[in-house]
Amino acid sequence: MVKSRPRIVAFLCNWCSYAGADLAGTTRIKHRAEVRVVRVPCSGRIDPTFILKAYERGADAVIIGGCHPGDCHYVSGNLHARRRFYVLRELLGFLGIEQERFQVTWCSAAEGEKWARTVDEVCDTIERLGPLESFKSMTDYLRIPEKEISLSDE
Amino acid sequence: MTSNLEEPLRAKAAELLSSGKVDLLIGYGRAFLGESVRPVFLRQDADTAKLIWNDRCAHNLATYLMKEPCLGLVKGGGRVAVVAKGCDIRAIATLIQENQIERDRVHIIGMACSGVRYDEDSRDMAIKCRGCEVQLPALYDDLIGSEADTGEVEGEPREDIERILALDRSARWEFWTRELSRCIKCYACRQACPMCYCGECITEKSRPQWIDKAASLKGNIAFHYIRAMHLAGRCVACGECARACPMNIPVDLLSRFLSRRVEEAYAYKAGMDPEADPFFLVNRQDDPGEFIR
Ligand code: SF4
Ligand code: SF4
Repeated sequence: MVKSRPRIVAFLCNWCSYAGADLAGTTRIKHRAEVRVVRVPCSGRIDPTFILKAYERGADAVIIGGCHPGDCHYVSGNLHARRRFYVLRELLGFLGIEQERFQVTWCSAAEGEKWARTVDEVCDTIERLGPLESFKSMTDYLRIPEKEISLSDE
Repeated sequence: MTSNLEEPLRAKAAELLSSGKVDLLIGYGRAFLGESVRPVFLRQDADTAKLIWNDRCAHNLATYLMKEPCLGLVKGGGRVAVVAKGCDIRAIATLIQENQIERDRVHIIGMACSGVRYDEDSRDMAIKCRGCEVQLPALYDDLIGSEADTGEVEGEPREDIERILALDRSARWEFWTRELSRCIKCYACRQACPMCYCGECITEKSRPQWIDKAASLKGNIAFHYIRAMHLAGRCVACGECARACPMNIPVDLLSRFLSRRVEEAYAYKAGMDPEADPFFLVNRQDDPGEFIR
């Protein structure tokens, strides 16, 4: 049987981690390719519903990338995000979803290396845990057939 | 069981209404069946005979402050009095913290409380009352009763959160899918909650639709996920959501758990200080961040 590849969605702040991921690309740092990046204006912009949607649509893990404390383009968006994601991580654990499937990283525009390492590590973790089955088993009735954006390459 | 606080409560209510200090008074009254209690809304001092106070007065009347006709009054320069237990006052304090009510638009009639019971024939105190810290309210305009009226709440302490934490990951998920699959999305829990006052709720928005509206397992988990997030650090553990649920889902478990984690990690407890900043409104440089890589 072919082992399924992990599917990871990353929400990255425009001012730091998105540029960091870009740097990883322009400087040709190799990292795992199973991550799909969504650019957001600030880690404080990331609503818990984004993360839920990612899981519902088949992500095995979500990575949040924001600026280091003190570096936020909007002064304190990342500090608001830190509180929010502390609570969200607790909720996921209490519901029975592995907390490892939800990762937060502070990654600056200069830290392409750190970004690459983060992606590799999260991919390894997800391979160890296996796919997130919790949401996959749920059928939504009232579902109209629609063309879904597939996250997998197949 | 009638309490000896009923007469002083009626006298205070009559005084407030006849003097015009308040336009409306929310209290407890007798319902149609047996010992059941329902909320009553009084406008004249002649009506105060309808007021009752006993151990069936479980409702958190703070909920009604954010609904008509009270909402129009508190936003429009009127004044509303609420008969409130210590736990209900935590909800009022949170509303004040969140700038939903100005402190002087609400007249809090604090009741010394010795616990409430839910069912008609239940001899047990409601589980939410076990280990109560606010039997004698700290925030009020008038206090009815005193230390002497706060009898001890009997019964085993509540340990439902611990029971979930003792489960392993897959057992937790199994528990939640079993419980939440019963939800019929009647939204009674949301309507009963004093902290769920948004005029437009994200669960009913469809452009874009973030929360699947169907009462399927997927939609139910989405609803309770966002409900819990929106109540973290705000839930005052009044238990009204679970009491309202027709499907017997322990709705308050998620929000109470998150509020407890917030209390442990940030030393912030909802509704204890009307002057404090709401939990999600502020942040500190030294907030917990060990989970961030
Ligand atoms: S979530 Fe439930 S227990 Fe918490 S404040 Fe709302 S109604 Fe009360
Ligand atoms: S009251 Fe119960 S059944 Fe109704 S929406 Fe809330 S959890 Fe679901």
